[in-house]
Amino acid sequence: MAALPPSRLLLKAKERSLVLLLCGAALLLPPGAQLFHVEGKIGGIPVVLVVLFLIWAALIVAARQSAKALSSSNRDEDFGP
Amino acid sequence: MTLSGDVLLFFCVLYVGALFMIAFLVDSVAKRRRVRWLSSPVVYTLSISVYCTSWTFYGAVGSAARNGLEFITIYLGPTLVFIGWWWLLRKLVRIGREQRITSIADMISSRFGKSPSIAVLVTSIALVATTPYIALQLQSVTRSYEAVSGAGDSVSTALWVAVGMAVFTILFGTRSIDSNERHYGVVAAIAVEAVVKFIALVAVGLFVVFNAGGLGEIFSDVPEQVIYGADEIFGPRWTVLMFLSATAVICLPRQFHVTVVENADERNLATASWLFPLYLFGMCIFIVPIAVMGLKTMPAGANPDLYVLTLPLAAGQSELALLAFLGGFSSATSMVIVAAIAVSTMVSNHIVMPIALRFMRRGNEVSDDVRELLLTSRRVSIAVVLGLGYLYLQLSGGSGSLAAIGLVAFAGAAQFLPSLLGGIFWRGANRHGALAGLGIGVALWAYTLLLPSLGPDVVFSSATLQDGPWGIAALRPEALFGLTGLDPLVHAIVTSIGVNTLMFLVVSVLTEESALERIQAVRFVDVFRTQTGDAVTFQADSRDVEALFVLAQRIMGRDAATRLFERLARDQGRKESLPEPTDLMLQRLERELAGSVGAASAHAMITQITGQVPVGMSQLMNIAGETQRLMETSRALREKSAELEETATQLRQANELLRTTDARKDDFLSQVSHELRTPMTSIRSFSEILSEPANIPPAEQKRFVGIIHEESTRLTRLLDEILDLSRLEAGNLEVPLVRTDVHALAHDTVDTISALAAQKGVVLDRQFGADTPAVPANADRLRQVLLNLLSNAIKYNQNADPHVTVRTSSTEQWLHLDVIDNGGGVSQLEARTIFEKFSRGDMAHLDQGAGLGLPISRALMQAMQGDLKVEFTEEETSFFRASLPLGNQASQAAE
Repeated sequence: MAALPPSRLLLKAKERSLVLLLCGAALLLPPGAQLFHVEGKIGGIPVVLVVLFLIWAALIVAARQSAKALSSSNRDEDFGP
Repeated sequence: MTLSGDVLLFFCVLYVGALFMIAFLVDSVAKRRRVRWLSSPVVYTLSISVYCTSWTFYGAVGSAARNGLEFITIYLGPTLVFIGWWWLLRKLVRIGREQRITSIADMISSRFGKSPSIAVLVTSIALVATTPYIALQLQSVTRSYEAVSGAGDSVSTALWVAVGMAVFTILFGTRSIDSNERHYGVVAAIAVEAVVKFIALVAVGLFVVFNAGGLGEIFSDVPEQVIYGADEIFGPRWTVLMFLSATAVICLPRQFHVTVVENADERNLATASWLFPLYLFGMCIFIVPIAVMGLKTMPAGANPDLYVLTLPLAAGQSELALLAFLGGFSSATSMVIVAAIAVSTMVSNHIVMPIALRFMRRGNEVSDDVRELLLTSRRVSIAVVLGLGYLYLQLSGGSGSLAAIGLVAFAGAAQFLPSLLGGIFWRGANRHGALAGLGIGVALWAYTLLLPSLGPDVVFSSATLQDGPWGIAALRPEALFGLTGLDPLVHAIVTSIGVNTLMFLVVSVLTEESALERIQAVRFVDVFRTQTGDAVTFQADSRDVEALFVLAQRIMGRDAATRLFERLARDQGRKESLPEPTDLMLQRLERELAGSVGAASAHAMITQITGQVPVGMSQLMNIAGETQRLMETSRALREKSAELEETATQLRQANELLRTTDARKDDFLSQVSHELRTPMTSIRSFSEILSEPANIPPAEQKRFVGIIHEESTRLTRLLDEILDLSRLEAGNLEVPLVRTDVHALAHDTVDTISALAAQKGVVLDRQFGADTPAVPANADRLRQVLLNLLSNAIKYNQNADPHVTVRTSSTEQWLHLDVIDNGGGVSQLEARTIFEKFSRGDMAHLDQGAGLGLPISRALMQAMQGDLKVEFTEEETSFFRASLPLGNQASQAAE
């Protein structure tokens, strides 16, 4: 990751975030979200709650990884184009 | 259990006082030096969390209690935008910085040719859309105050809350007019409030969970309907809510303000892209447990919007209730402060300033007067914004749930989306399209959502809502064009945003944009690629500079204006005078002023002084700048590629040469080994035979020894020749030149060879020219060459009456030494290869020479500055010609 030139790195981060957006939208919007509309509980908590928050957390972690790679190798560079 | 109103009031005042202290200290420190942590990504993210208002703090629980999981869409939408679309925000931030954008109205109007009409329209929409949102904050603070203190009169409480917040915001937000509209103090205070509301909500959540004995306990006997709501949860409304919240986090005036205008460093977005979603995650994690516990334990009829307060109160936790109250108060105040600052900036820059401009007369200017006017108009605007909020609250009767009111505001702000996105991604978008889209969009929003939200019989009668105005069913506000069966919110969004986008696209395509719009289009859409200069549409002479200076003083204040003009003059290389009104200077001045009054007003003000010129050729060139740049880039690429091709050709040629050389070397080596092998083989065979001399007669022995000797001599000669040749080729063989009498040398040589000639029966003729001068040559080497040529001529002459002639002649520069034989000579073909190593003529089988004689001879002649060639006569016979230069002054002097 660090070996990429800044412009390439930025493009990569941009593509990554777009894919993340698509994944998030696919899971959090109908009809994808319908999948989690199930009865039952995990650890006493309704499944849908657990799943939604897990997806949410996963998205945040993925976004953090992407941002970290971007900012650690690109700290002093101009942040674009 | 309640707390007394006085105690609450005391804590509120204390809290506000603390916030004000923070803002004041930060402002005064930031004025003196750059404070690092103020520009840090964490503070930036916390300021963005002004998104979480009291709607989140109280309303999310209320929403969860009423509609189950639906509340979460309001936080998932922004999450998706920040994790997946931060580069859109980055583009907005970059444009905002380059264009000194002060608000979302400024952004959109600036994009569409600094159009004042767009600025006014966007400002009006923002004002109208913010009103319900402010009302929501007033309502929540009022209700929470009543809930905690138990006091009753909500009308006067709301009024006092509104007045208090107005004063608070005026004190906070309009202390000065900064260029770029950055409010460090406010941002610091907002960040503190973000922390307070987060801690408060999480504390209440933890208390509720532990008090109930864990999450499992809370959810133990909860009917599914509580989680999923009454209707299909993952339906159109879910999608529309996600879309709305995703839009709101970009388009709400206050979100635009904190994300774009107050952004100190683009790179902060990288952190905000995950930290802001994390903040939202933290705010949401306890919402459902609190709502469920509220539903379980609170009496029927208790307002779910206040569970965050009433649950701790019911459990006797008055300290926690106070913290929760302060958390709710924080979320409300931070929203009101930022929203009021953002909207009042728009109102003063885009509505008050243009009106004031009409009445500004040249001649009675006073320093700071525009600045004072701006500050006053902002203060008044803040009061008006809060006043409108209060009015909305009274009109709507405070009946709606917090979430419903918030969504009305979201839908209003969403009307900016087509123009904003179209403006920064599509060069073809124009002012007419934006005006049409925004106009129709906001009209539909008001008709289908805002006005019905006030309730029946406020604007629309119940009959109108039921059957449409004048009984026309197709015009029913909540079922326009016969779109029945939809949730009112879904219906309003589909119609308003849909028609808005369509009108924006269609009108943009059908109409022409002005030159200034085209310039702005390139600068917005290609903000990362182009560095085009500003469009100069002013025509100023040096008399105008004084007027411009006065204008700057009026807007920025005397000191700031003086500093700016000093800087402008210094950059032009002037020290003691005002700057020249060059294009660059006017651009910079316009941009500085735009940072205070917005692009449209700044443009209009300068035009008023300087007069306007039509957009000229150079500006059109600027528009074409992007195309031009692309063409240049492609030309440069073509050049580079041609260069590369040429290099490749050269490399190929060099490679070819190397390969031939390599092949020649291989040939040479194999020939050398072959040449060496023949004599070596015979030497070895004969020495083997001689190793047992007993069976061989002595005569034979003698002959064998003779052969061995002969072969050894040949071997030595061959090695000498190879050595000579390699030295000659490397230029290592010293051939010292002295004046030599070639005649004498030729005579000697012919005498030397005459024995061999006689033996072979060859007649030697001499044809020496008369007085051949002495030439610089190396006698030994020249003799070697001549001997080689003569012996070849004698050995290979197959004529029945063989003759060999040695002839000398001279031209002006050359002395020729020819060896002519009547043995047939060499063919044209042979002449081409005869000087190559190991090349032998047709007659070579007659001799056992290695084929090195001629190459060596030629190399020797060349070392003597001469040459050796095969010449052809008219009769197609050939002879060898050794040529030597007659010598020049330098060599004569050297002698």
